[in-house]
Amino acid sequence: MSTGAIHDLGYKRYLGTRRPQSTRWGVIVRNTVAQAWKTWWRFKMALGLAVVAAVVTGGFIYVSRAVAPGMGDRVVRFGIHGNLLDGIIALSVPWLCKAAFLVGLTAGAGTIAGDRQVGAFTFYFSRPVRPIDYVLGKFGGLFLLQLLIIAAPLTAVAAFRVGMSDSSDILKTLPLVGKAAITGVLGAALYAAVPLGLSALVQRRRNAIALFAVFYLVVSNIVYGIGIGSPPVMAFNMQAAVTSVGTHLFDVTIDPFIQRTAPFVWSLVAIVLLTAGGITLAWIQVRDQAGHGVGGS
Amino acid sequence: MSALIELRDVHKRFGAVHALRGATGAISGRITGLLGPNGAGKSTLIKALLGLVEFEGEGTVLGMSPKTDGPAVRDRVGYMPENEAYLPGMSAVEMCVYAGELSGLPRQEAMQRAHAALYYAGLEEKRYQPIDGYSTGQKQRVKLAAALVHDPEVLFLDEPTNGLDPRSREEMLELIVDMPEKRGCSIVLSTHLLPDVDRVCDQVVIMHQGRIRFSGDIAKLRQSVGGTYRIEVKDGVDRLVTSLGAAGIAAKAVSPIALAAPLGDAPDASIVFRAAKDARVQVRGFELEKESMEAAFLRVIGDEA
Repeated sequence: MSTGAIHDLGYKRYLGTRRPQSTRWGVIVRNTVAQAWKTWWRFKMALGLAVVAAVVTGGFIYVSRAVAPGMGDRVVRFGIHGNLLDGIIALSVPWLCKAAFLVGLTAGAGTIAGDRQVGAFTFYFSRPVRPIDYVLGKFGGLFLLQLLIIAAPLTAVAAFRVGMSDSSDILKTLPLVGKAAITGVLGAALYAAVPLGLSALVQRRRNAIALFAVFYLVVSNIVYGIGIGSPPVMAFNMQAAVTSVGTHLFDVTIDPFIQRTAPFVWSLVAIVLLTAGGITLAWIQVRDQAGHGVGGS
Repeated sequence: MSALIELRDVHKRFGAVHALRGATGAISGRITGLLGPNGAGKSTLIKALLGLVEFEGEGTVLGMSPKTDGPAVRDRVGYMPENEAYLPGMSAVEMCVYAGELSGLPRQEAMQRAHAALYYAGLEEKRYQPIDGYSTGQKQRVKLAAALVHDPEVLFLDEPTNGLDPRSREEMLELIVDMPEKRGCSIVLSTHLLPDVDRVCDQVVIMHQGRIRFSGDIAKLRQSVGGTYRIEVKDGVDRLVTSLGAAGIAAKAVSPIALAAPLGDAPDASIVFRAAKDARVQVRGFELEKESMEAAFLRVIGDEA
């Protein structure tokens, strides 16, 4: 019985060069970003929130420079000590962290678990993809997304602040852009790595999302609570750590009776440890599971 | 021709389970069937050949060692898995482009080859739709296209006709037969379906209890059944049985148009045609009867099954 026609568009063997093995993770980075960009709820919704936070912050800077000069000068108001004109950039960090948490939930936490759930590990690892390529690719994609959520708005607002300076002040305010970028990059790395690591712990996308939500909303708040008595512990609350870096770099102090902040050095240590821990956890889990599914069960 | 795949004393243990116990053999056919009962070691062998599990012993694929060059082997080898292995939310084109890029093709080349592979697999009209909504047969075709897109020299197909309706199965088998000639790749077909192997393969490897029990041509596997020949006639089977009986041959009718005659390994065919002439019967077919694939398979694994 002959049924379907076999179509051929004139096959020729590929004789060109292939992309080096060491760069294959870049393909996964691009795919991770592209898939998140496809649907509004995975990324664009959180990006909208980040843009709103940036616009409000920029609006404050504009008003305090152009409409009500002096409003943002050095103040001791609402328990906040510092130059609010610059410090407002750091004070927008918690809002951006909320947007980053949303991206962690929708695009980050489900990524590895979702791949395991649908058998995509077979798709990846029957190809010339090593577990390290896969993890770096997924991390890289999430990191780029989080850069857009945290680093891009912070840097843009800082650049706006520099642009609003008098010409004599431009050089003095220029470092704000670097400080904003450092805060944003550290925050993006943290908010990419932690959901990724937790995602590797379970086999179902929904469970991974729930795990990250519990970690962020429950465990982190317990950590924050413990941190009131023992400040270094507070740095292991993700939002507190990134906010602490921001406020320190922008020279803003908040009275303890208004809001406790984590120590700066401990915040840096916590960000590095949690980021490295998330990537390592993901790599160990993926390495152990890589061959499953290939060649049957 | 040197073998595409060579194995020498390959062992693999998973804790107490000894999955491969000194597998030794070579695969060099255009389409080679990889057969074996559940637990024979087929899956472990494929994983080992793709460089996904470590093993003891020597093994090469296209002259490369999967032990040390796993990713390089997978650059030149394609694998179509048995289980569902697609990425949700992606269309067939997106998935095949992604597969091509992961295998090292430049993006432009991957896009061209993805369209060509999907067209070849018969998915030209559906290729922009999300795979989630595809039928089983269409998903099998996407997996085949994704395994082909990077232009592999060897293609492992794991139960490619599983779950397919008869029409889709036939189309898949036609593609498998077509691929070595049109796309220049050799195929290793892992399946439980012996009729599929009989239909498309020229060589077969039979595994049992972690060892390769047979490796070679299918023709060599299927032995003659005691020198018995199948004779097909237009009509008059009973007359020919009687006529052959008079010539000392104990033939017996096996259907209204066929009989089996034990003529031995070096028969004198003229006896048959003389008897047919005497019985006024027209002979339409005359061939040595060989054992079925099932019988050959069971014979090879039988003593330890």
